[in-house]
Amino acid sequence: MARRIVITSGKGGVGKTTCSYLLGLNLAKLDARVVILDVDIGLNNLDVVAGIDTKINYDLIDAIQNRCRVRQALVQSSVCSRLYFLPCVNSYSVGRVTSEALSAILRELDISFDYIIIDCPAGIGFEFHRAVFCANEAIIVTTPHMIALRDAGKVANLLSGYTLGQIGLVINRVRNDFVSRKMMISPEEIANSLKLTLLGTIRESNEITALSCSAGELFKLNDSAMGDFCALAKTIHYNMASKPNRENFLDIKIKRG
Amino acid sequence: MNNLNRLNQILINDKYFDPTRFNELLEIEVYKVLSHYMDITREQISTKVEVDVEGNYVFKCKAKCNRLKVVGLLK
Repeated sequence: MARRIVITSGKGGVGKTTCSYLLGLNLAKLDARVVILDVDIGLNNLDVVAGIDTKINYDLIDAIQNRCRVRQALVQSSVCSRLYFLPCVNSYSVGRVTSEALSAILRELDISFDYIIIDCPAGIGFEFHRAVFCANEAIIVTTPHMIALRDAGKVANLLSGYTLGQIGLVINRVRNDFVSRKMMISPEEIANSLKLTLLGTIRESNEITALSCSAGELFKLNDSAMGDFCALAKTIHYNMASKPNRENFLDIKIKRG
Repeated sequence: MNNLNRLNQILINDKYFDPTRFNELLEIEVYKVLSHYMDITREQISTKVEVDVEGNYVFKCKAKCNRLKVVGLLK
């Protein structure tokens, strides 16, 4: 069974989708089979971040509504062959997608992947609970800013109501010069206050900001932040929870239309 | 007040919530357990959830009973 990790935050704009993509990419580089699901139905962005928006024939909604098989909705990354995406672009005229329908899709992916990364929408409404319901681990992404930390605390409280194996914390946009000048709370102090396990910190990166201004270029990231994402992937892959079960591994071949 | 203390204050304040329904459910569960050991009614149990200065939840339970059900338990 794949490890299902939901990437959540509460507050929007803290880097959930960027984190989902770069974490997935680095896990795939560690020889794991990874699929990233965009469950931010209505405000989907993963397809643009990953640069796959022009390659989509079917999406998550098509799979849920039986217009295609789940495998047909998967899009393989052009950057790393072990990385796949299940995008969601069919977003305006969609009825209510239930947690059970989403779980059924994940069960089909379980046997073919080591990691299922669920890119959760911002907020704590039904969409948040639907995404968390399908996961067995959670990563809360936050920035060191007070309002993001407050929302992370609220999300951590909500997640404690679910039977999740692990709830980890990733702090994005950390500036060590600010931390050393006591202008920014240190990542360790933040983790301690939120009572969460700190999995990694991502340093503030002008390159991420620059690459985010174009579509699908994030894989070109080549600064300290990419090193941080690589370290995060190694922590999750080698140290956190159980190793992926590879016994029922199936090769996925997708026909492109 | 420095940033860390301010954060802790905000997080602790956010941990307070309307506990009416939560307390009711907790009391039902506690009553089920205690009624095996005590001659007690629901009204004789009161529970309270507080948050301490470190942000931990503190569960307080007060139970008054008429007698303990010692027969069969002390074998």
